[in-house]
Amino acid sequence: MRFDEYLQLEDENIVCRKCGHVYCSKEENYKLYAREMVRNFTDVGLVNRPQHELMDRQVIFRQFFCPGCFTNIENETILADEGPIHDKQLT
Amino acid sequence: MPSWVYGADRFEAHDKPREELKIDPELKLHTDADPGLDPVTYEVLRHRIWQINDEQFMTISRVSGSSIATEINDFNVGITDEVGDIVIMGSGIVWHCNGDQAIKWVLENRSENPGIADGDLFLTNDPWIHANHQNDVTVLQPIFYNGELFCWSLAAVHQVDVGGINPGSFCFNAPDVFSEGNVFPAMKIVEGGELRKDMEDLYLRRSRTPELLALDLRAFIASANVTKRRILEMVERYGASTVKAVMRRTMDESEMLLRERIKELPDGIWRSEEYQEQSMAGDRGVYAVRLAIEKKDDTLHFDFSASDEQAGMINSARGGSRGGATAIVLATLASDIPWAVGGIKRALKFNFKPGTVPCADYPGGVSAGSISGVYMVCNATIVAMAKMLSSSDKWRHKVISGSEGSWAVMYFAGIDQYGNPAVNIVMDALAAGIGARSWKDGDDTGGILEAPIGQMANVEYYESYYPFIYLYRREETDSGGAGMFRGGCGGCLGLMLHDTDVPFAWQWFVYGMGFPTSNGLCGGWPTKAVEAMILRGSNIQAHLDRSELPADVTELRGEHLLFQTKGAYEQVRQNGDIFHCYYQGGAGYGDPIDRDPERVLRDILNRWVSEEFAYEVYGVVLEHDKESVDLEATERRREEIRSFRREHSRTPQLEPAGEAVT
Repeated sequence: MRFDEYLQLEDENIVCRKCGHVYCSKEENYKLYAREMVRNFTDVGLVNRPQHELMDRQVIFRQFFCPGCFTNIENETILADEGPIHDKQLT
Repeated sequence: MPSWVYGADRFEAHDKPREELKIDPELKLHTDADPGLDPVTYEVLRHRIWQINDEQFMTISRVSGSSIATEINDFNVGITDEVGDIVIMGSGIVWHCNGDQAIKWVLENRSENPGIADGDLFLTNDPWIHANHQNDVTVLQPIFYNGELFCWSLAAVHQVDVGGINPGSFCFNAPDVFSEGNVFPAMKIVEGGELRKDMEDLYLRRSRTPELLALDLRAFIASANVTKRRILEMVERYGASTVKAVMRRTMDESEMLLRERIKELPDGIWRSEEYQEQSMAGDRGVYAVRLAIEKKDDTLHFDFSASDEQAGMINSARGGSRGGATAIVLATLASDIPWAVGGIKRALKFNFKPGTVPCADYPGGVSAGSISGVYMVCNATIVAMAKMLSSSDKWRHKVISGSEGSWAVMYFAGIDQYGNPAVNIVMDALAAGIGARSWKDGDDTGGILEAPIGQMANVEYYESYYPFIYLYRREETDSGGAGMFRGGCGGCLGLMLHDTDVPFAWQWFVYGMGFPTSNGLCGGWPTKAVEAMILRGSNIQAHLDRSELPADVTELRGEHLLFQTKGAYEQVRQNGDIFHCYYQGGAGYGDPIDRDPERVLRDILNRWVSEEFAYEVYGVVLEHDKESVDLEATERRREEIRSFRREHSRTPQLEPAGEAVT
C-alpha cells in the first residue's frame, strides 16, 4: 500500500519503495528512523541575507534520506528547536 | 479566551446549519423545491446559474474603476440559497466563499431590525463576521420573489484603502484593530433600491481613496442588479420551486462527489507547519500556523488548534481561515467538481482555537489577514493536502507542492505625473510560481492557487496611470523549488520613478524573507525566499543614456537598502532610486537527483536554472558545448551527492543533533 512517493506499507511497516529498507511500524514517525541532515538556507542558496537581520529565532532546512539508498525522501522548513513533524500517519 | 471588549462576541459569526439560525419569523423564506426535477431541466438551469455567476463577475470588472477589479481580478462573486449556502462560487479569489457566514449573520442580526427587504443591499467588511481583512468589502443582496426571500448574491472586492494608520490599510504599525481600517458589521447601504447617502458617507469618510471606493460601490450595485434580474427571469420562466430544486441538487451533487473521493483516500492524519517572521513593524518573532488533517471515512477534519497565539497584525479571524482552507480543497481535490460550496463544506469540519493566529480574538490586529493568517492557513493546507493525496494511487495526480509561498504587496503613495494624489498597489506577485505536481513541473509565474483567474496588471497600465517605468519584469532563475519535478519559477520586477519631482512613499508587506514558505514534498526543495530592496541613487541614468535597460538590479551600482518584511516607508525619488523585489516560486516534488537530466538541460537553456545550481543540487554536468548533458559525469556527480548525504547525516532516533552542514 502506498504511503507516499518513496515509501509504502508492507506488513504494517513503513518501507522504502526503491531499496526495501524497513523504517519502523506504521504508527511511528518514519523521520526518526531516516537519516537527517540540517542545513542553513543561506548555505544552499535559498536565502540571501542572514536570518538575524529579520528575526530572533532560527528556521532551518532539514532533510531526510533513506538509510538504504540515500534518496531524499522528505524535507522540512522548521524552527531549529522543534523536532521532526510526524507529517504522515496512516490509521 | 473571550474578548475583553464588551459585546464583541455578538459579532463572532459561525457557519450555522439552517435549523440553528434564529431568523425573525416576519421574514418569509422560500423553501419549496420541486421533488420531480427532471435531469434535462437540471442541467440546463445549473449551467444557466453558472452563466449568471459569470455575468455577475464581469459586471464588477467592467464598472469598477479600480485596477484591483479591472486588471487584477482580486475579487469574487457567488450565488447562494435563501439561507446563504453557496450554490456557485466564481473563480476569482476563492477564499471569499466565507461570504456564507456573513449572510447567516445578517439573517440573524438584521432580519428584525432594520429588516431585510426587496431592494436592500448590505455592506460588511467585518473579519469576525467573515472577511479576510477590512479591505475585502462584501456586498450582500437578498433576492425576493412573490414576497419571499428566494436567494442571495454576494460580491467581495478588495478596496485600495479603507483607513487605518498606514496607507493601503495593511496597518503594520497598528497594535490592534482600533488603529486599523474601519470595521463595518453589515449595514444597509441600499434600502428599497435607493443608495443611502448617510451610509455611503460613513463608508467613504475614512478612506484615502474615496473616489475609488465610490466607483466600486457602483460596481457592486450594478452587479447586484444584473444578478437579480437574471435570477428572476429564470424563476419566472421555470418556476421558483424548480430553480430552488436545481440549487439544492447542485449542492447535494458536489457534496456527494467530494465525499466519494475522500472515501477513496486511506484513513490517516497529515500534518504541516507554516511560519511567518515579524508580526508587525519592529517585531522580530516567528509565528506558526499548525495543521493536522484527519481523514475519516468520507470527511476531512481540519485542526488548527496547535497554532501560535495571535500577535501583531498578521492574524485572521475564524471565517477567513475557514475560507482559506476551503479554497485549497476547491483548488486541489475538488478542482473538477462544481464549486457549490454549500454542499462541499458539509464534508469539511474545522477546529480553531480562539486567540491564535488563524482565529484571532477581537480586537486583535487583522488588517493583513488575507495575506497573512489566511495565507498561512492556505499554505499549511496545500502541503498537508498534498501529503494526504500522495498516499493514494488513484488521487496522487492531484498533488500540488507548496505554491507561491507569500503574496507580496507593494503600496505607493505620492503625486502622479498629472499632479493628482495617487495611492495604489502593485500586485505583480499574483504571478508567483505554482508548486510541482507528482507528474509534472509546476507552472512558472503561474499565479496563485486561491485565485485561478487572478493576474498581474499590464506594465502599460502602471506606466500610463502612475509615474513609473518598469526596468524589468521577468522570471527569476533558480526560484522554482528543485525536485524530480521542479516548482514553477517566481518573478521579479524593477521600477523607477519617472516624470515627477515628488518623492513617493513606498510600503512593503510580505513574509518569507528569512526563509522560504513554499515547501516541497517527498524530497522536493522549497523555493527561494523573497527579496526586496531599494537601490538608492543608482547609475540607471547612464544606462538609459546608452539606451540600455538592465535586466537585474545587480547590473547597477548604488546604496542597497533592504526592507524588513513589515513595511516601513521608504522614500523613492527620481534621482536613480530603484525598487527591486522578487516574489516566491513554487516548491519541488521528489528528490532533485531523480530529475531527468535532459529536463535540467532544458531549464538551463531557458535560464530557469543556473548551471551552478544544476551541478550542486540536481547533480547535472554539461558537456563543454553547454548544450548537452555529460551523462557519465552526471552519474558520478549524483553518486558524490549520495556520498555527501551518507557522510553528513545522522539517525535522529540513535544519534544526538549536530551542527548545520555547510
